[in-house]
Amino acid sequence: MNYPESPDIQASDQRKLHPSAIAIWLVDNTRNLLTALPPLLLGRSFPFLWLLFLPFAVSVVTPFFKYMRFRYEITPQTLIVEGGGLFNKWRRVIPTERIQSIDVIQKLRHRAFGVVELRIEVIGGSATEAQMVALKPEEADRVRALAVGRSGYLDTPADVPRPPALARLNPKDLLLAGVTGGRIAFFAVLLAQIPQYLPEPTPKEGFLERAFKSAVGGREAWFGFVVIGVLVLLTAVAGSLILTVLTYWDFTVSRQNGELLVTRGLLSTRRSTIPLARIQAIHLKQNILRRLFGLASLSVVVAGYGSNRGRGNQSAEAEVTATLLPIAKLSDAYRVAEQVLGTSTPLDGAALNRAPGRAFQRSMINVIVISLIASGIGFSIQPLAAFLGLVISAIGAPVAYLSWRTRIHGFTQTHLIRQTGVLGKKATIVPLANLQHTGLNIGPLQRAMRLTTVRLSIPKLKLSLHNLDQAVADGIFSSLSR
Amino acid sequence: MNLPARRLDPKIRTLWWVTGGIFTSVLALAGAITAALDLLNPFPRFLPLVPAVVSGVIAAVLPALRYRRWRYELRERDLFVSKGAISIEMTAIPFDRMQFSETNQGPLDRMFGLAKLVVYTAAGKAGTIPGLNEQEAAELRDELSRVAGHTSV
Repeated sequence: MNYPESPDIQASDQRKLHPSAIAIWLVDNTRNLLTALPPLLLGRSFPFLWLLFLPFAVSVVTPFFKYMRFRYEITPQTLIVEGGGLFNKWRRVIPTERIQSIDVIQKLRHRAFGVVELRIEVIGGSATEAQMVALKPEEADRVRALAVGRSGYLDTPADVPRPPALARLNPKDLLLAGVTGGRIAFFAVLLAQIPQYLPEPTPKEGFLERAFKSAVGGREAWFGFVVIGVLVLLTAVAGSLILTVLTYWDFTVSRQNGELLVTRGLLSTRRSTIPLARIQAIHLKQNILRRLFGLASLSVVVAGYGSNRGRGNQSAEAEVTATLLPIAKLSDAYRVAEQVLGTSTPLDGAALNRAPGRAFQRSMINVIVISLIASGIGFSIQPLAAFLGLVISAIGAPVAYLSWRTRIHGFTQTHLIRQTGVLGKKATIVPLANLQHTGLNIGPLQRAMRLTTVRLSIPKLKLSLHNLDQAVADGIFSSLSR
Repeated sequence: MNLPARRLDPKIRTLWWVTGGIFTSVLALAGAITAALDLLNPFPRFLPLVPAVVSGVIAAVLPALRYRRWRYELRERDLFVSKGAISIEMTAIPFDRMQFSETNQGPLDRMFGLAKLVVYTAAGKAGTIPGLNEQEAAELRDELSRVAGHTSV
């Protein structure tokens, strides 16, 4: 983003961050600080690891430089931010009228020093444009008030009514979210990796084997594995639960002044504003567990709502989503979606169609071709490997069939709804007004079968409707480009 | 679905042949050296030349196919672009969604007197038109900046 040139900052109203910023940057960089561990633990056997002390030293020293260099100044017209690290210097001038939202974040590390963090999003930007990692709450409020012309929440008088909540999660909902969430898989995988990295005194016997032998005391091997497996799973579930409850504690979504206000968190609190006008699309996601219970999570695709890692780490094309509802009954989720999109037609009642049967035939042709090629290659190496093709077909056919059956879409007057997913289900709702450019793709096989894929591009999201009937696709293409 | 009306400047086809030729020559040289020295011993001696042959065939055939399909048209409300050698890809970019466009010239483009126009919407890069001679490129860019943001011409 290019900003207009501005006069040099007079030294008078430039401010610095709270000194605790140094500590907070150090904590943020624990990953880099951990690079000191390999040399300390294994340096004797692997002398080259001492080279890792260089990034470690840089990580320790950089926060001091960053703190000394960081300056900001806020006037009613502009926010000017200057900073730099060990070697670089940068400066940003942000007109306040382009500021679209300011997030106030307070993690444990902020709470320890009694400060908060401000993250500023800019209209048209693709990343957090300005990030002030440590400010005293009064100062954060002052910046917020000047930047967006609203009074801060930190001093909200008790008699000012809070806007009515669109949705609010109680601890029971949070537990449900945690238990059915995808994080369980993440934790289970994580925990399963640990045994590999512990040092093994006896090369032949792995950690797990020793563990189950001692746990089981001589009974059959499989019993020990089951015990370990259950323990791993339980720890994973507990971990997932705790993380979810902490992250989404007191999750509240409310609507005020054309914005959505989301507050959440127990140890780390976050208050985000999402301007309704910048919501590009809505996802309703159900993993297989949630689907069984009729639950879903709701997230929004927002333009100009950047990654938390600051500039440069996110391409403008990447999809950025913000969770609006971690868990809710599916019908409730649809009601909130309708409120957010400002539509009165019930979105879950729209008629949805799937691609014509020829689409499945085309997928099957692809599966068969791949199987034949695989068989051919396999046969030339080892005659029995010709059966590889059969295996591929046996797996590919049901996958192709189920994908074809479960990919459905439909149009209302104002929205497109697309649903995919075999085990889990994901519904994406796009207001047609947000469509930017549209396209048609026709491969050679598709042309022979009178099929076409429709490509829809909205900011931060690309959607394809695969293998539609050619006439239907042409019709959609023409009516959308009108 | 009909393809857009206007074709690219035929010189772009020559440019593509030249680039393909250069790439094939490099592969052929590398392949020839490898074959002459028989570096891939267990495998047949001619094997390193295969990539060069394949590249040569593609380089000969592809430009004509691409040229046939890469077209554009300024319609009433949008810019309509098509491309693709084997698969066809058509894109409609409504004027009121266009944010900005840019013209690029690579080193070979300059030699041939050609330029490439890229059009952007809020969703990113929407369409590319290579092989415009300099005058066409300037005209198109000016016309687009005139209509961009408005609903119809």
